[in-house]
Amino acid sequence: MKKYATMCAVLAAGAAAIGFSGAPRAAYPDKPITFIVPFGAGSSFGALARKLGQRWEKELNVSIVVKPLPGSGGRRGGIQISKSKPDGYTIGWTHMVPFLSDQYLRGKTPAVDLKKVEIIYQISRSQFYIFVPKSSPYKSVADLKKSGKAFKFASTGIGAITWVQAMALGGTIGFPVKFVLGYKKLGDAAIAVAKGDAEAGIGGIVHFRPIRDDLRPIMFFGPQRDTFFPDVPSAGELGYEQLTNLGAPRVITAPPGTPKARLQVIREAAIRAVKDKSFTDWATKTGFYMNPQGPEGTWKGLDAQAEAFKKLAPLVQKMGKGKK
Amino acid sequence: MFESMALAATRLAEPGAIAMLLLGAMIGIVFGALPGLGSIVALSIVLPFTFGMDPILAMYLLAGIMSSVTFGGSVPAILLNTPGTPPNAATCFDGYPMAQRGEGARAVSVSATSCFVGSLAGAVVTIALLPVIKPIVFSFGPPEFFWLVMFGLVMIAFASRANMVKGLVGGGIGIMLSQVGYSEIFGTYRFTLGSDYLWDGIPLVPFVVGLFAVSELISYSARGGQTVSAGEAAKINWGGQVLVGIRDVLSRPWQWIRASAIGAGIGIIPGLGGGVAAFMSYFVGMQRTKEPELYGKGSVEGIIAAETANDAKEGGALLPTVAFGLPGSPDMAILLGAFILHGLEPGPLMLRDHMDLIYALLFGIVISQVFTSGIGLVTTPLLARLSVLPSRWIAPFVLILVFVGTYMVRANIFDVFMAVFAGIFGYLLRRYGFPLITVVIGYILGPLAEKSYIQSMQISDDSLMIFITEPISAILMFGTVFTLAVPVFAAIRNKRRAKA
Repeated sequence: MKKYATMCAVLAAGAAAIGFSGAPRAAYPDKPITFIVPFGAGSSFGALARKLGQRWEKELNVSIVVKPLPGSGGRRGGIQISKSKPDGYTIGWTHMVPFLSDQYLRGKTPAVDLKKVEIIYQISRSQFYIFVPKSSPYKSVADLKKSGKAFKFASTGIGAITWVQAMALGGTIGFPVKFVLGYKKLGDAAIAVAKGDAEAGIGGIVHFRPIRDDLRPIMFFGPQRDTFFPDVPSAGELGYEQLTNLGAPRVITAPPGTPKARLQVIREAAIRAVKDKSFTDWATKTGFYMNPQGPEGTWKGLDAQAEAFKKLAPLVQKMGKGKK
Repeated sequence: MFESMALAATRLAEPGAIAMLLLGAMIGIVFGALPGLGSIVALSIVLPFTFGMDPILAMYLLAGIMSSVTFGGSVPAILLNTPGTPPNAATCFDGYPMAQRGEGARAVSVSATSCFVGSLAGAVVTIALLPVIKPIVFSFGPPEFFWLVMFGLVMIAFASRANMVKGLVGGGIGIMLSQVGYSEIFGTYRFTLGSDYLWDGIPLVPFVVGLFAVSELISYSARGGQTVSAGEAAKINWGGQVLVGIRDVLSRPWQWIRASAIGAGIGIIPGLGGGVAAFMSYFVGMQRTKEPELYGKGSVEGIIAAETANDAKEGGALLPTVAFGLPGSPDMAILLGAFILHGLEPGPLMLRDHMDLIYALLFGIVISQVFTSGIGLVTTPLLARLSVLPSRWIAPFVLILVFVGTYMVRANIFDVFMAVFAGIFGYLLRRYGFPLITVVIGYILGPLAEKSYIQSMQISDDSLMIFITEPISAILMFGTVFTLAVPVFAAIRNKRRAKA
């Protein structure tokens, strides 16, 4: 009888222990994760997301659904991420530049308060070139200033990263800037420059590589020279430090309030990806500038970019007066 | 060149190539036939499954889907007056009247055959233009776009000959609706009524599908019955119509050659898109035909013009995609993404080093069209019987398809509401005699006209002379003015003769 009572007590204790620990909880993730991309299908942001998703599907054992959500100059996707349910099943790239540009360069209230967004991990940071048509007489940014004329840039639209960089370049170096706007993609804008619709353009290697024979890059917007065009001087070496922090970071974000543990799961998967040589080789070959950063490093970069935008704001506003 | 072609042909013989093309064709037909879904949804769903595949097989699968979607979309356009994809809207104008008079199988057969000849001729035109792709792409800038678009807008006047005022008002409504949303050029939101749903404008798929399909379903429900009465249906030889449809196309070589050239040409010019190719070809066909009065009332030529151009544009759109990494259509943007994911680099080097791959893709598009047309022709007698089903069965089924299709594109419930709103709006327009075609033309071409005009002004520092001094722009301008002027002068001359 005593033995029976002891056994009952042990079983009861066991049951209680299970009860106190709560019902068994499903491990995260246990269903597909949606990865929002703020540009149309086929974009470079989309390609990077799919490559990451391909890896994560094997590691996390769930589907990664890449969902292109283009619109409003890359803002639409960021808005959707910030509005989504904070359960870790909706993440994506928030294209930071338009929101920073709205707030610090254009004095508008941004549609997303970036401070509230959960940063998971920064994978890369785009670094752009300024290029002119191959037939152009201008061979350096100094030549642009010397010419004493206004330069016409092809760009996707007002507030876009290339618009910001062109304005900043003109303001910093000291030449007036005009625009031909409305190109759907940076690749389209590069073609417009190659065929002479505009005198200069700004874009990454992924955007103008297919027509590089028709263009001449004259400056790299980075602190050091780039390996793709080692003969092209960088903004850093030319003394334009303020221009080196204008690139677009590719940051994986989640809606505000997403549980930290879930963010960590994705973050660790991202860290494993950027440590994998085959992934980084593909990314580098494709033209992505790997710049992995955790939340702290990403915020630091964003704060620095915000500061750079604040400093450029008077210049940009001065340049923009009277422009369409 | 011939060496690359031979290599491309051997690639087609690789195990799995034919299977991928057939699979792609089947997926494309289904996604095209379901209103609202279309190629972008199909390609986006399939793309992740291609990751582990051999790159060329992956390209075949994607090419198979791209090339078959428009035929799939023509089936509901003809039988239910519901375009499966927006470029199929032009097919509704003649396809549905044919279905109403019991010639649904003939119309679907015309579409299937047109798709095949369109892709074949499109591939030939594309191969012929391959050496001059760069000058072609570099010759078309904003002033040239502007006149191409103006040509389309001028066609509003022709499309609404029955009531020009209502037609022009419809075109104006379309243009006004197209102005809603974020303007990249001005950096502002326009007419969004404080709703972030409208930030990116009135979405194309729910608007076009709602305008045609939902309004048609409302009309269906209001009038009851079926497209073709059971009595008439009993007399119809559905199988015989398929053969008639094939003959219809093959006996009009100049029409499909012309439509193919227009389709491939517009495909090559990035930024214009399938809708523009179909409408442009339709209107050129309307101008050149000896029986313009039949257009819009069930003309076989109207279907040939629209569907041939729709399919020919795929080959054309491939060229800027591979030559410059510049996708000629949204589908090609996804294909470009697939190139990058599979480690292929589009650009002049691809033209130099991987011509076999480009030919393989072009051949793949044609082979896939053989499958698509074959499947289409075999199933046409069965499909055409949809027009005999009573509207009380068809309407709810199609409505569900429309709602599911419009929802799935962006997983946004407001797109379904937009389709309903566009449907009610379309019903009212129909009821008061405003032609829907002019609304759609205005809606599709309005933003292109605005953008190309402003860009031209920005390029020329606000000088209108850019439209005249650029040779191709000047030719297109005179062509547009000529197109507009000839019927006006002809009408005046006829009036004078009648008086005399």
